[in-house]
Amino acid sequence: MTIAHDKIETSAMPNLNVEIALALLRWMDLSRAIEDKLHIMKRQGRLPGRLVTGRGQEAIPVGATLALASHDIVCPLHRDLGANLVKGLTPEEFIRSYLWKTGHPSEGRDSDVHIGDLRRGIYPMISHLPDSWPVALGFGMASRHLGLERATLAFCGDGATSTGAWHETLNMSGLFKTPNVWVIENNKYAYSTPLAKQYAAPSLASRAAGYGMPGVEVDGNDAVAVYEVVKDAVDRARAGAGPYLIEAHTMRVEGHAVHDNASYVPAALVEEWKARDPIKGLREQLRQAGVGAAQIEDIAAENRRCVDDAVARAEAASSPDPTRMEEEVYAPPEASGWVLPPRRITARDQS
Amino acid sequence: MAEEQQVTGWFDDGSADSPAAVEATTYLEAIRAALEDELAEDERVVLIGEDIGIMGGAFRVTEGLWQRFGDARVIDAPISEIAISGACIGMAISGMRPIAEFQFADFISCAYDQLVNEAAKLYFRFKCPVPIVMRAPSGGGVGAGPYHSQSPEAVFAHCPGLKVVCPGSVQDAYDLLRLAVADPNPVLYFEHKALYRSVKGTLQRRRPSGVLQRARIVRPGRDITLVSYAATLLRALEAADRLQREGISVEVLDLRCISPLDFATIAESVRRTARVVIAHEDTRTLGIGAEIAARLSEFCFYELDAPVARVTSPDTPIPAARSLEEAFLPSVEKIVAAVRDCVAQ
Amino acid sequence: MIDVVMPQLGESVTEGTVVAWRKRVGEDVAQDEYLCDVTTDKVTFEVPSPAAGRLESVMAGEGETVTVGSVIARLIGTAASEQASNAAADQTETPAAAVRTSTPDRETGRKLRPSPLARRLARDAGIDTALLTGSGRNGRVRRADVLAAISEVAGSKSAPAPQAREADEVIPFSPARRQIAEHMVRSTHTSPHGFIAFEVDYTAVETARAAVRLAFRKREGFSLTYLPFVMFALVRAVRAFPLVNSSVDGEHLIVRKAINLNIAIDLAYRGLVTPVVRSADSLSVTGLARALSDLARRARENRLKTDDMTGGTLTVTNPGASGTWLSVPIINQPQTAILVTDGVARRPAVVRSADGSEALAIRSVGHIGLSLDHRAFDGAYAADFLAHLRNGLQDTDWTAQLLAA
Repeated sequence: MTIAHDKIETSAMPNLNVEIALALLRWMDLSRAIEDKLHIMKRQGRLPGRLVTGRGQEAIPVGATLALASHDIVCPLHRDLGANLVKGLTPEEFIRSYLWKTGHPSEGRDSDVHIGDLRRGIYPMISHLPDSWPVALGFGMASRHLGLERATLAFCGDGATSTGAWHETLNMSGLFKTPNVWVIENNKYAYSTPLAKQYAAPSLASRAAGYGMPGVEVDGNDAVAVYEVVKDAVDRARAGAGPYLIEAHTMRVEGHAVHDNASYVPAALVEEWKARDPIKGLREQLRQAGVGAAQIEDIAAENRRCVDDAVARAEAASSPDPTRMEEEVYAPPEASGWVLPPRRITARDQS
Repeated sequence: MAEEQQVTGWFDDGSADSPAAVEATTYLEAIRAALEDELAEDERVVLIGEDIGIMGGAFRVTEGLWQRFGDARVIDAPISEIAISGACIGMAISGMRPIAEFQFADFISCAYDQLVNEAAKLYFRFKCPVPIVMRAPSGGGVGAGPYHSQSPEAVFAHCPGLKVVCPGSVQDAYDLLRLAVADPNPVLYFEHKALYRSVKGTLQRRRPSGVLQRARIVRPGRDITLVSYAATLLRALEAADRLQREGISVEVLDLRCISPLDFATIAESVRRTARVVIAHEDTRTLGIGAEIAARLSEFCFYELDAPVARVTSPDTPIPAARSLEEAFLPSVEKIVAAVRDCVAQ
Repeated sequence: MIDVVMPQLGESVTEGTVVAWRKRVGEDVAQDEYLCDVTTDKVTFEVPSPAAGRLESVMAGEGETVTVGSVIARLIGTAASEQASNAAADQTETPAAAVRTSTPDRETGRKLRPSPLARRLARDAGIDTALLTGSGRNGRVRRADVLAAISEVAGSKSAPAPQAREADEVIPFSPARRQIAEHMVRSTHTSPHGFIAFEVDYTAVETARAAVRLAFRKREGFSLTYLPFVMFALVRAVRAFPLVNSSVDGEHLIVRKAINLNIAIDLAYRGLVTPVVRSADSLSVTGLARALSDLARRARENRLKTDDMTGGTLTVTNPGASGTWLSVPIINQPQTAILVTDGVARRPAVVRSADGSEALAIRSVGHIGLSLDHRAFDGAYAADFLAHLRNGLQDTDWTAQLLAA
């Protein structure tokens, strides 16, 4: 299935907003640094469970989440580490989660990419995809009901768009005009299934019309483009214009997870997309905008130091105590409280 | 052991207010009253479901509520059990108190994934309470066949993190629903459709005190404990009356809350009577009766004077024809026979 | 006559209201033609006629509310429609057959365990449930039976407590006394006791015993009494009448293979012990004497072991050593018989000489008796057993037996 490139949004800004671009680079590079480190640890036998990453796709979660206001909610999936980082999850918490230690939001009761924190506006994923989308719909409905000027951003892959949950959610989102931004990370493969074996529609964005909302395609490896498209969608949503569907095109340059060598993917396709690496592309944009190589290298070096520190602390941390495992299955009566702020958020609060 | 024992009548639950009592209220009207009082007293509460708005619900439970509270509080949704239940989770996390209605409990299977994988596990994983209530009319005895008569309570009782309640009286229909809304956990509220208009009583309309996990002895007795809930509870009480005339004193216990199970109250009763019959409409294998019997064997073995007996529906889907359904459901006669047999052991 | 009933439309709907009649009494109506309008639960619909005919009567007027299924009108049908209607009515539904739920068979078999509760109560009270009669199905022992047993034991203790008067001495029961008391009450309660006695001429025994008395004593260090002779003959009698060596289990008699004899030994008024001579049937008279002596010595020295006390199948008690004439012993549970040997005394007896003439003589005579559990066997059996035992005592070549090691 080919993509008509002239339909895809790329950066509309003639002059790159360097501040935003540097922020994008910092988060994308940090995400890459963490995942690269996890790969090394895996091959060194220092990572006990599975490893699933989003290498080559960092522009989407980072670009989209950076466009959110601090009180907006994001629902990341397994290749959206950057979304977690932008919202304030620390590298150390993430690595602790991978290492089955304490000191991260689920304290070992869940692990690796099943991570989040409602207080920081991150809804944690489960393995059934896109089960977070109906919940995101609920965040959107609550925003409307409670008069919160709050947008909710949710991600899913191309594979998840075949489920009943996906369709039910978009139908109701369009029907109730909820302030949701729905982002599909179309990375060409759902495990071993290529797009041609998943759907007959000309594009996933084209389905938006069927649900009564606008749909747009964007180059998922252009972080600035993703940022701009999502920012626009989020602003509209918050203003009451209803939901937005965004199909971000990228490529899964690794296997589904570390155990999968993805031999079913044509090598040429992988090479083509590796050449369009989003971090490489953004660095190039920054250089062209006059940002010095040293500054860019500093960011990379800082990130690697940060990751090494995080790994050292995480590896030294304790494991969860099994004697308390049967506690806190149910919330006690006094736990009836807000988790996310209920107050009306005004434009003044959004800075 | 339970910290306090309630061997009480139907309406005494120690709530503080002295409310107006409404005579001759049906079980269905009690549910509606609870929904109405919740909507009126707590602006966080919304109702969502199929046909619950202008039509007032397939069984008319929500009749009048949309007219009074409007679109924003009583939401008609398309046929989307996944989206409805998932949206409730999102709304609940955002601070609302959503109450969803499934048109029949048989359709709650469409929402199984959201309930079991999202709602039930969020507190365990991330200390995030999910205060949702999922209402559904369950049960048979109305000739409605395999897809409008199911009793799925045990399926969800098996999932840690969910609560399941099954009221069997007018006052409980009201109280358990309001307590479910107040509970910070996801609660499945199975209202028995055969009781909707056939059970009438006096209703006290006030915010109930207490918590959900409480069984109740609704008829004290000496010779045998009869555990039941929902529509079968009424069969059990009728059976107890008949057996009384034969000189057998039956203690009837209303489970009320299927999960978490109030085993302490059951155990206390069995320690006095030494005999147990469990009667429920759910099918035999792995119904809640099986769990109760297992716990009795584990914790009360040396208190038992006879084997634990169960009166249940057989392990088949619910048949449609009346002659088949009557044979399928646990009747007063079957309960009486089981009690007699247990007492004779 | 054809009934028109209030239909049920809607699950859980129980009533309907007639809104308006479209036909009047006396009017003809066609099959499926609308007869009236009814409303149930705010939905109004027409009721089509179930048959062709004439509206004969109306039971529910406009505005009246009736329960679903009740007759609201009657039609006189045409001949054809009546016939069709009757045919439909004849298809009465067979009453719902009880569903055969597949329940596994309940516990059956010879040995019905008491209920868990009964076992616990019995254990705590020191009651052997094997001795109780169960009032549960198939004779199962259950709570009520154990409680009854407890209260009987308690009742006998607490039945109007005798008052100690001045100068009376109150002696509390020692643990041994208490145990004996409890056992005796229980045994009496468990086994319906019968008693049969025979007279035995001990001349043959006495003659043989006298002949070896001094040598025996010198050799063994203890005296040879009548008891080993009795035990020797007893064992052979048991072989001929095995039912006396048994236990009752509910409605079964367990006939023991082994013959382990409990011997009652009085400990100088301090109590009674009944240690066991195991496999008594494998011992000679001398062997039996040795076993007895050993047990008696160890009993007096308080050195009996648990093994000495368990496994007995038949008990022998010998008050005759004290010179008794006739004693009626209480069965040692869970056995079904107890043999008593009373005192042997020189008594006048009628003896028959070879030519058939009778004469008085002085013989060593004593009683043997058997208390029996009448559940297990009857007097006739017991009598034949005792007769066999008596004959053994009177006719055995004791001299020869004493020579056996």
